Amino acid sequence: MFRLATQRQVALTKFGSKFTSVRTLADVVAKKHDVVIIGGGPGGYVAAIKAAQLGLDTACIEKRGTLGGTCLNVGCIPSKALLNNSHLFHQIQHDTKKRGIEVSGAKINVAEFQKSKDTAVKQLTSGIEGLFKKNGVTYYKGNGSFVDEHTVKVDALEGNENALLQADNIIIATGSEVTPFPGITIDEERIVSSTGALALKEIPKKLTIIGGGIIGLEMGSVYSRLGSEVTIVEFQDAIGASMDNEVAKATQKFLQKQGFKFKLGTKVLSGERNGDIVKIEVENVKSGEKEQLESDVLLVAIGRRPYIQGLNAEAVDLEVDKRGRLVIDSQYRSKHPHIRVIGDVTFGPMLAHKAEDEGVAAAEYIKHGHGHVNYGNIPSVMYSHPEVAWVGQTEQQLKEAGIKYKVGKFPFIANSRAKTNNDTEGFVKFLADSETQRVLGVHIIGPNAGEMIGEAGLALEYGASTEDIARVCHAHPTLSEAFKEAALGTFDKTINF
Amino acid sequence: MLRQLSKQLTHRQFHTSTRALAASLFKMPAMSPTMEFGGVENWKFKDGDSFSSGDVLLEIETDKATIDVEAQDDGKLFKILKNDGEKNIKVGEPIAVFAEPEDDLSTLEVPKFESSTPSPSPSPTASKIESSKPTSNPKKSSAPSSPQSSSPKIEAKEGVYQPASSTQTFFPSVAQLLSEHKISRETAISSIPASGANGRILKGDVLAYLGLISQESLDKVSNWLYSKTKLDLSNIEKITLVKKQPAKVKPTKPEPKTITKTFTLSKIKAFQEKADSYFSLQEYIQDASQRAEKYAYGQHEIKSDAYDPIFEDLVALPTNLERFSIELKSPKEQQDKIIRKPIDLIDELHQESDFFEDLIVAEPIEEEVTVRLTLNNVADSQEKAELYLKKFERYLYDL
Repeated sequence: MFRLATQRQVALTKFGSKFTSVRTLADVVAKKHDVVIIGGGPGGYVAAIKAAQLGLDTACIEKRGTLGGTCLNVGCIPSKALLNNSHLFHQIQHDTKKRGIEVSGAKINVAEFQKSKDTAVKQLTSGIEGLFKKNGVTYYKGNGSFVDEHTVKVDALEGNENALLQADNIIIATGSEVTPFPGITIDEERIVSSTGALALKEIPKKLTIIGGGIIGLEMGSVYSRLGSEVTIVEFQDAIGASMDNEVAKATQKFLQKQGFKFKLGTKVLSGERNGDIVKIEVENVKSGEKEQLESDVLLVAIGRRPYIQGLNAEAVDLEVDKRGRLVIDSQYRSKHPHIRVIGDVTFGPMLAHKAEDEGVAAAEYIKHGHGHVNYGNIPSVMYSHPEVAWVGQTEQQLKEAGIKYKVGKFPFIANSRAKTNNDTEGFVKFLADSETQRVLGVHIIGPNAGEMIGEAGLALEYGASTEDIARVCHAHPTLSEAFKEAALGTFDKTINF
Repeated sequence: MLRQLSKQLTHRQFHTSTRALAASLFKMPAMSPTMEFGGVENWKFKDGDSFSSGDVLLEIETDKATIDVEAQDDGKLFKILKNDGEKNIKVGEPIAVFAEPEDDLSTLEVPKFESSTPSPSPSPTASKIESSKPTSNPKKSSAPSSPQSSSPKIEAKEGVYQPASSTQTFFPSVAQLLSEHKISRETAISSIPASGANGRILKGDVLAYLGLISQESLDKVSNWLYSKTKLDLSNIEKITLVKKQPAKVKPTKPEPKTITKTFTLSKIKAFQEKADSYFSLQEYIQDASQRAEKYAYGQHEIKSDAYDPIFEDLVALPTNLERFSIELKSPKEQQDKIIRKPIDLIDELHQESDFFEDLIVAEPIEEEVTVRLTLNNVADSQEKAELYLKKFERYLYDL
């Protein structure tokens, strides 16, 4: 047999100048930067842009091939595309008739449905690359690993060049990965993580989810609206992770109304794929009763864990705690003061916006020696319908700390805008210091709660009292009037309820 | 108005403390946002003198200028602590003790300023030169920051209380309270310690100042909230990272994706004859492959109205990046594959016929041309490979 290989080198001479700048992969470029950031997710890319804006020569290393990290590629962004479109579908099916709109024949085209999500992701990730260019951030596509305390090696993705970077400052922003469930193998087809759940090729008749946290409940919402029978298996006695207890209960109630089934206080013993069926064995923690569940798809959503694979953190002797988080001080410094760590790979809640703020703060610490993140004021949002959003302290935290507080609550059923929208599920709940009315925490279930929580964040940041909110004019008719009224409820009487 | 406040505060004092009414400290004011130290140029009053609101009390020398300091209220100069000519006095350090106009100086107690001046570093925007009014409010003696309660006081942690910022816009609740209790903006800023961000006076600060709530409960909430603003880095259980053996656990590279396609030889030949090509079959196929490849690299597949060449140029991959490598298997070569048999001289002599015929080995000819593309890990390699195959087929079968 004779083989003819048409290689690029052959083509070179024929195709002319277009191909003359072909690089060989073995080339190693040595570069020097003020700041090198390892990881191009929400923490890393924001840190990179901020550092560059502060006048530092900045480089960012990312090995995924696209920027934006878990959030943009396989997390917050694609899930929101699915949530929004599935909600629209659900509304067309169940909510239009009583509004006097008759629609028939609405159906889901799964391929198009997924494509719409992919388009949003593609546009956003390439948008960041444009931002890097605009701000002068050098972008290395590849795996960044430590050689020594000031040297980071880039093993480039195919088609890019390897590099050896000298850096005065290094920011580690390598993020997190899905925590696997011991004994359950994720194949991303029938047994999926959140990544696989975002790209199912068909709508499962039955979807079982291990974990009643935000990720599980959001993905459950998507497929529940598309017709799946969703069962949540949660080890704890409540869903919603760090939610206020009252809010968690109310959330469970409205999800049940939407068709969710909950198995709380329930342990998963095993999960195995059997052809197109996944068999799951669960056990009630209290009674010890065992039960077999069958499902078309099993989603494992028990949380995320820090990710430092390929970083070669051992080379510079970085410290980790027993949960794998890189150890830092209050200025994000590791044991080497010029190596800082931000985002999911270190302490604090694993949230994109927390990582972003830390990215900005870390860049400012490098430049000015001062940065600001208020960890008492990091909002959480769950994009179910209605949305659930909260910021500050929960009732259980206040009780534990022995802080005297007052509750102000206002239901959306009494809000004119919610009423006209025929979208009245939920309430605004304020927790305020009983003597000073200083806002301690705000918890909202309701339409657009995620947007409304911004006002609560501002109040918390500046130490406002609920009176300060109640004395601010809120437009009528808006949902935000419920916010104002709930604030009023902590020290005075609500007007409209 | 002062009288009213005085009464109220005095009243509160008797309830919360057994200590005698003390005089108030007058501290080195910040005359400019950048001022850290100042000097006393000269005092216009002596110990024991009375002064009224608006009188120039002293001249203060800063790094930029010498500025007159006016009295804000009526009062008495009880004792000068920093005399004329003293320099490098830190902003916030006491420079004199003032008393109320009606106070009997012989019975008045000098406050222990070492312990009652917790924060000598006011925020840089504490006061403007134009509006620099020193704090000469004698009632400050009962200001809530002085330790006066018999119950153990929760220590205000670093950062909770700051001198009030003079440029702040008051919260509606604060403005309301101040107005209800007839406290001027200046008095509030000079005498209410602020627990809000950047020296902002909160409703609770005013309530505690007025004695309407206890300082302890305000401290408790403020300190607790302050502790929540920090990342909890206590009780970290460190473990050591195990150094990995360098050659071990290299992640196995995923098998590179390949696309294989076959073309019928007879069809190619038919077309080649029709085209009356000078090329050999092999050259012909190779040329077609190269032309198809050039096409694939040069072409952008997506034909969209939204296609923007400038944006694309920003985000697209470099055109010279190798997307795939090509392997061609064509049967033509087999015909050229000449195997020379060892030639026997005697045979040669005997053989009359053209011996070249015997030297060509006639192996069965495959009727197919196979092309195998190995895709590189580049975003658009699949797209480019498909373009290549489409064009290659066109070049082989019909032009």
